[in-house]
Amino acid sequence: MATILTVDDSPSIRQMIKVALAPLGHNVIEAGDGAQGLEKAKASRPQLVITDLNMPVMNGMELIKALRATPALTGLPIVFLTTESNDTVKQEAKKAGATGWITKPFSQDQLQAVVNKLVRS
Amino acid sequence: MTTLDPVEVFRQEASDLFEALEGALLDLGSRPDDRELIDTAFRALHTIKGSGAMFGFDKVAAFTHEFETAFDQVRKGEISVSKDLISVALSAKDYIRALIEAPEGTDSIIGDAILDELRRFVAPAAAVVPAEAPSAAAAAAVAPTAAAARSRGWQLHIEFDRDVLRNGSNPLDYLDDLRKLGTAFATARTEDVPLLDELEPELCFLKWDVTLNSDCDRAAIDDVFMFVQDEMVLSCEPLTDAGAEVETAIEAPAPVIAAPPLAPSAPEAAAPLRPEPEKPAAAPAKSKGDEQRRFDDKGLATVRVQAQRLDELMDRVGELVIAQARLSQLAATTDDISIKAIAEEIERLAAGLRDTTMGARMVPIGSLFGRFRRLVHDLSRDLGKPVDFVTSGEDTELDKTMIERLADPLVHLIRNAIDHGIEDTASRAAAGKTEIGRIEIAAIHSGAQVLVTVRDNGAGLNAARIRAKAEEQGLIQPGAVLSDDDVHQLLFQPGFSTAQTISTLSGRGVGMDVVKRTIDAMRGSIDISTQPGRGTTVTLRLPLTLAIIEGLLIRVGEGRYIIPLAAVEECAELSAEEERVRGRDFLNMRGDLVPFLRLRDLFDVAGQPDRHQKIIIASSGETRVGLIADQIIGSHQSVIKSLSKLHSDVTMFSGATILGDGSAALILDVAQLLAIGANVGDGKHLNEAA
Amino acid sequence: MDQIVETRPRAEAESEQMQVVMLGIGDEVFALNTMLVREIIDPVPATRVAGARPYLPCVVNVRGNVIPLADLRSRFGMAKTAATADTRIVVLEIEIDRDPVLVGVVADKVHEVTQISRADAQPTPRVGMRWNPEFISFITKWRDEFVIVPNMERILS
Repeated sequence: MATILTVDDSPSIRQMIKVALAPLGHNVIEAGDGAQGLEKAKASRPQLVITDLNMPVMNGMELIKALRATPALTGLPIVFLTTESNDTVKQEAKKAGATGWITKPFSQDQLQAVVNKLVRS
Repeated sequence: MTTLDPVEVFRQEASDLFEALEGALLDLGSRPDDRELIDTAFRALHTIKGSGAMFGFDKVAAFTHEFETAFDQVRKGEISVSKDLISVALSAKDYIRALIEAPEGTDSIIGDAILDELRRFVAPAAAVVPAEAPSAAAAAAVAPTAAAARSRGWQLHIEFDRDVLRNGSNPLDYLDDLRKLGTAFATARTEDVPLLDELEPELCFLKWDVTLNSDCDRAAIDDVFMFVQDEMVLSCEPLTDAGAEVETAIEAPAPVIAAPPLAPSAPEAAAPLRPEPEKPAAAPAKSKGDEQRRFDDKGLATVRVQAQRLDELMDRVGELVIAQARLSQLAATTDDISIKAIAEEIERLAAGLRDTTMGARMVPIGSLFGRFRRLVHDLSRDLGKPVDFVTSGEDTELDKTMIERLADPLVHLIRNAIDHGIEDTASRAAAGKTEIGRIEIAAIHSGAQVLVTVRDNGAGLNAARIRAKAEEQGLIQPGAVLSDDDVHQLLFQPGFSTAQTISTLSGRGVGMDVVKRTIDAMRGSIDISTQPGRGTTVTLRLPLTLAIIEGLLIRVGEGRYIIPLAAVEECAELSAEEERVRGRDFLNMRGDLVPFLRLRDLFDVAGQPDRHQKIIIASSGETRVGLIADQIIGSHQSVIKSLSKLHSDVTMFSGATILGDGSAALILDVAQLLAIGANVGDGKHLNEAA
Repeated sequence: MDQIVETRPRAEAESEQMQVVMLGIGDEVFALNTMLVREIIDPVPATRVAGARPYLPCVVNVRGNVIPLADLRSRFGMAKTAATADTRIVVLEIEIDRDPVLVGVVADKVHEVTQISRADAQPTPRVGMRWNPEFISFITKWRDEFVIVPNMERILS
């Protein structure tokens, strides 16, 4: 069982992710913004972070950079959620250090596939 | 944790977002350049769009997309915020809300009209950025060949960027994924791996050749490497019986690798390349604890609980408190020290649980105030009366059920203040007042009460007009002698209305009588003060909670009663001297004259009073009254049970509670007793015979 | 020995039949529609409410609810008597201004649940009545005795 941190200011998306990942048996923990996400990532050492980009306090881009700047979290896969389907955002996020992305709206299968891809038991 | 339906969570969340959006839009009216407000509005829209699409609200997503586009331009400074834009945005918000909450009642014609309006604001230069399909470029590159390229397998050559590990990608995982497509034979090519002392453990020097036996198409392979397409060179050749033949080679933005080719080295050097996440075996358990602690320390996290569950919890706590009171009563009669100790412990725990539960039910009143801003905005526009709306004390917390119940009365008071209180612009100018009226709504704690005031700087109440209207409607006899306060109270009579012209706001069927009934039902009271030409202030005095109070249990004759402890200032024994002077109605409390009431007389109790009468000084604000009882039994956590409708004529009691022995005890209505006491002070003796 | 009346009457409109519980109060017998009756309990200590109307003098705790206890004797001008082993509290749910309201009624004796018919209704005698005809829905006969079907809403409001 892996710990997966979902960072999103939208409780419904967090809940959706939680419900969607429940069958995989992972422990899903939540944070409501980037700053909280960074704290939780440092504290809980998740095996995967799924973060929104557009968030108050600290946005997803900043969170990705901050996670990458944390030596203890080297190699942590980070997936971002985006509604933008254009490549600019993806390039920027990849440059910041993201591992992959999920385009909203996504289905449970799509989400599970991405998680299975990046989290090995 | 319980599993909530995400769609339901989304509805709740959307409702919050609408409030945030509306607040931001309204604030933008006065501060059109406030970046934070623009960001808030944009973010709310963005979330509604994204989540809406997730949960199947496609119309919401499509509509919001255009709305968001407009705000994105505002955010980028391409268009500026105007009053018109805010108005359209508010209608757009209402439309989205309707799409979510009552889609069957919406009409796309309205939506289209709103969008047309919105588009007028959108800067033409930056019109909607054509949305590219997810990884459109890659898909396009692959598509033409994908269909044709079915074969018995693929020969792959894989070369990752050296820093691919930095982004959390694990090349070995991708190779594993290939195996899901079929049997794969991978050979690591180590020619680029440097000597050990030059080896950077965070870089990837290995390349792979993979023979994949699978009938998958090229797109399936691209899917495997979807996230790293830009950070690798991948060549795929279909395996044919005839042999290998290069079909395509994707060389996405050519990776700039500065490192010169290095001499081949020992293959073992590849071993440390696999990034082992540094986590000792014990870590997961510990980190969980860390998380929990953070949760508590920071109070960052919030959990949404259905209101009904909180109500149920409160009911359970109420029952627990009653059961605990019975236990305490039993324990008091026993000599068993250990039972006494347990009873005390349970009492402490029950009190703690009660406080926590009540705390969980407390909600800042600001959420309610936020709703009124739109009301004021709309009313002000409809009536052509410019109004500043000022709120304060948003952090003041009240029981959530009270907040819900307060909404309608406050709407009515605000409506009244703008409709009847604030004069039209011309009258204001003539009276030498600022053209823009002012409505203030404020909340503040005052002891065990919360005061909510609605204040306007309008014309003030016109006592003569109220009087005339009341006479016309037969509420009072012509020429009846009434104080100004009495006249103001007429406003609360059912059916009373002084509006001289019927405005668009009339006909709602909610009168001040309903306001008063609602506030009464909450054990609150309403004061009105007004100054002609200066304005009117309506003050609602409300208890903090509806559920449980700390009470003082007293005995009067055979009956036991509760006085809300928050209203009790002090208790004392009535001195023999004061006892003898029965004609006097005042006590001398350190120089202050305090009127007092003999509860035995008030409650019509037969028989002889106890020898040592006790006096309890109860107060609210500046007013005090002494209550004389036979005995003070002690403090009592009282779960408030409202009195039956059949007892609505009973004035001296605000409710009842259940005592440890299971019998009911009445809770004194201190406000009423203070009023009776004040009458004593005015010389209107209530119980002269006594 | 609480008795809980659960049986529901048949549709009254069709048969004019009405299922009632027979209560003895003073020297009269009252028939109360079982639709109104929530439960019948043994007497519990009552708390006097100062300033309340004389026919609603007390409140009692019934399963965590504080409900008024009605004194029909006072409403019908009958003398007070002390409680006996037969005394019960009949908890009714009546409608006041369209809201359901619980109220307890002290009965000296609860006789039985039975059927009566509106068809047997007797004209309310104009003379010799010691109480307000408003309080009475109709009078009928049961075991050769006159029984009163009271109008609880009117009596209590």
